[in-house]
Amino acid sequence: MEIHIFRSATENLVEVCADQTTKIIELNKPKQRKVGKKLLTAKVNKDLGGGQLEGLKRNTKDILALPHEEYMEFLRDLRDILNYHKDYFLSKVTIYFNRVTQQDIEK
Amino acid sequence: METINNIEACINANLIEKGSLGKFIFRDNANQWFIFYKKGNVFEIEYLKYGFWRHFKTIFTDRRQIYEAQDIFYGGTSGKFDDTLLKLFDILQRIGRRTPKNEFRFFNKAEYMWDLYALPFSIDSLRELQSTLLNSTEISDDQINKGALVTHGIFISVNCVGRVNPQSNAHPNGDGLSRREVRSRLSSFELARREDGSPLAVEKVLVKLPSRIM
Repeated sequence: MEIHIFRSATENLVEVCADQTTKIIELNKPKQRKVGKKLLTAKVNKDLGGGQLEGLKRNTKDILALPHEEYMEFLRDLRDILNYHKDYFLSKVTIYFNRVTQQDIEK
Repeated sequence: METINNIEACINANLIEKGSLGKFIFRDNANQWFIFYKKGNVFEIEYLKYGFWRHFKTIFTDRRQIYEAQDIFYGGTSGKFDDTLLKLFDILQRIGRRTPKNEFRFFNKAEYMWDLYALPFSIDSLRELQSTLLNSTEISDDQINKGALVTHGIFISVNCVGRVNPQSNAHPNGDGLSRREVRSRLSSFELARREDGSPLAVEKVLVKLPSRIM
């Protein structure tokens, strides 16, 4: 049960962040930029909050990652998940660690 | 392990800038740090003999924090820390080579700048870990008793923030910031640095993010 919670929590987190990245990339595709600066500005403001607009303008062509604040938000969530599930997470890692080291010994 | 591998792949492919690195590293109770990596369909271990993580207890006094080291590979004007930082860069490149969808290894330390974030986590007590493991059918009592336990972990994120020289070509995704500009950008974080701007030591560069952005 707990592994499911951990897996879904972390994977959902990564997926949500990846979706957001996709959204940002979509917003910066050339054809979508043709909708006009005003519309784009409004959409970006709606989707991301006004604070990131400057960053988006600067990297219009090449954004391939989350903006800094979004990434920090991701790290905060990841930290919370890791700390909440640390015992279970490290116990699973221990199991794999033993499995891998055992394989090495057998080799 | 697949979950960890997938998370690392997603982070490196989708969430961080080209030239950055995101990776989980772990420590066993013999104080050896290592990473997992996938070779074919099999997971293998690589031990890390050098790195600030070896000072886990001293650096990460509060495990609930995110730790940050800005412009991590800049050793100040004296060059006193250059060897230490080069060793750190080299080991991170080795880690990068073992990380799915990662291009950190192709980037030159002298040309780019990186901020480092560390998310530490560890068990509260060995007894609790042992008791969790005793309930598991996936590990034998013998193995638990031998003490091959993984007790600590850190997720490290080395984020490329741009090129060092503003006159050179801009980073594919960055903005060609000079160190001075970056310093100015980061001054609000109130970093604990020496007067000459150099880090106190690799392990001391890591400072807590101020509460306003936590």
